Amino acid sequence: MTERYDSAAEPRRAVDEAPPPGGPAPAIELRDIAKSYGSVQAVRGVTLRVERGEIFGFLGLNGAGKTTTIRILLDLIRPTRGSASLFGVDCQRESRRTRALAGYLPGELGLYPDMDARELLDLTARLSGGPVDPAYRWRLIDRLELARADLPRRLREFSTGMKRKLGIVQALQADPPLLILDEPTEGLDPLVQRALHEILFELRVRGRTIFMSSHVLSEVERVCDRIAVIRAGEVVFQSTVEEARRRSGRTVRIFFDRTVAGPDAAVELPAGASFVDRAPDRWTIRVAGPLGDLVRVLSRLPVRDVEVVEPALEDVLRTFYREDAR
Amino acid sequence: MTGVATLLRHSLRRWRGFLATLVVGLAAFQIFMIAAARGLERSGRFAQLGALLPDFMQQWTNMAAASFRGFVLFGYSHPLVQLFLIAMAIAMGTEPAGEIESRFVDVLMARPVDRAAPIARTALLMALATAGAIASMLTATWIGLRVLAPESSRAPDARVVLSLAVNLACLVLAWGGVALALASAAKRRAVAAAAGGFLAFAGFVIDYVGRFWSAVEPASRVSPFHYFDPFGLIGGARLEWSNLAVLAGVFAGGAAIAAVVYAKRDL
Repeated sequence: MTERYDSAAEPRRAVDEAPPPGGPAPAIELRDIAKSYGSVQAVRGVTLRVERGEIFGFLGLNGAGKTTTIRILLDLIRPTRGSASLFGVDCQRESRRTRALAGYLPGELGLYPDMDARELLDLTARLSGGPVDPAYRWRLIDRLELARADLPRRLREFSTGMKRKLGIVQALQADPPLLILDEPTEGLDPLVQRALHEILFELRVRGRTIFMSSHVLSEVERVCDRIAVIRAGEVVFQSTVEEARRRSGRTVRIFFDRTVAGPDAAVELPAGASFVDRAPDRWTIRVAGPLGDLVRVLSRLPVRDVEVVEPALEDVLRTFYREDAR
Repeated sequence: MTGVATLLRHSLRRWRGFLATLVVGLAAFQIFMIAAARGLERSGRFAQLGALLPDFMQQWTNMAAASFRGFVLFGYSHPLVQLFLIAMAIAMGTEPAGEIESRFVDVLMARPVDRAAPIARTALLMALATAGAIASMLTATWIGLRVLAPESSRAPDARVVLSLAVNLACLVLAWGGVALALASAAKRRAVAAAAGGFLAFAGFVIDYVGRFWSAVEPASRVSPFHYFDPFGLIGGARLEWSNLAVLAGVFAGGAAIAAVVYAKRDL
């Protein structure tokens, strides 16, 4: 028995009327956070600011420090240096208060195999510190295609994807102002990934803030407003997704009617443009910024066709993932 | 303290099968002891048993094994009963380490739950489980004596039964407190449980040796077993409140240390 989801039917909650504490403070603020385990520095001076109502992607390879940073936010681990706050409330000094503002999906969801799914949802609902609307929970369950008949089953019988869906429901069910999702789509099939993305968009419309870690760049590109890249415990890049794309520049492929050689080929490209490939019958040029100046240069040549390839976020971020990139 | 009641309810639910088995098993053991004592009493073998025991054993056990009354009371100090209850306390006391090891702690403690709540939950769980186990033993003893005691036999005094039960409960809780303190600092449950088990074994040995060898007696005072003297109680000695206070202190101290360590550590 499934209900059709109607976002207009979403319950108005206290959090919709009253913003979380801290006034205009950002949803998340990390100031020079560091965490060491003996001689190993897991996080080194991370400074981040996530504004209210945005979807923020926290990117990095495995072991880069994403989960450590998230666990500091939730006061599960204590930083060696620096401070963290949620909506202006200090995560360490007023830990319980900040945790009441966040729903958390751990990257590694540790569950007792002899528990059943309903028991887990009830337990986490009772611990969430606020009321959980059962209708909202059912809608989440249905939209994530978690069969209602599976809820009384033991978790040992759940697949990885089913556990992930359950983890998402337990994080979202109390409808907190901030969601911290560690690799939320790991193990989910593409249809459920899309359903989750739609839910996240709707939550953003309702003013919720979403902080998600991921190493799936296409997902981040589709969902996030802003991103930060963490590598070896340091944030090496922060920007909007649009700005990140712009940094890479577009690739322009020019196809000629005839061979372009000799004096014809001796063109001077405008600033911000550079040759990637230069064959007699086609050129490939990387252009950062507007294309107007390049079009003017090309107008003197026997151009048959022009193909403009928009940059993918992946092209930009790959450089930040590499160890030698600074 | 936020979250304790919810966590306790959850833990009781998780442990319910084990607790039910424990309660039934301990009750059955008491009934078995009474039935065995009835058989020995009727066949007149207690007198033969008493003659077979060496002097030091007769002195140590206050002839607990050689009379119907003593045999029934022996059910409260039998090594199997102690082993089972202390193993239960260690298993329950190490639950916080188990939650950290399995990462279930991320699900629990990412919510507005006090850091002290899992420790308070575990301490309460151990207290309830111990109380339930001892209550089942007392109930079984009462029913067993009513149904199975031979008319010719002398039933144990209720005060002695209660003294043994209370002293045993405090001993179990003391080991639970030790296990809880170990678990609060451990990353792996098996490590905390193994350390608790080793300490219990070492404590049992040092107490046992200390009862016969005066040179070891002062050292045996560090063992919680030193403060549980079942054969003294069976022989008519009064329950020492100081013994109960020491054992309760070990439990409370263990829980307090656990709360402080758990509040400061990375989960």
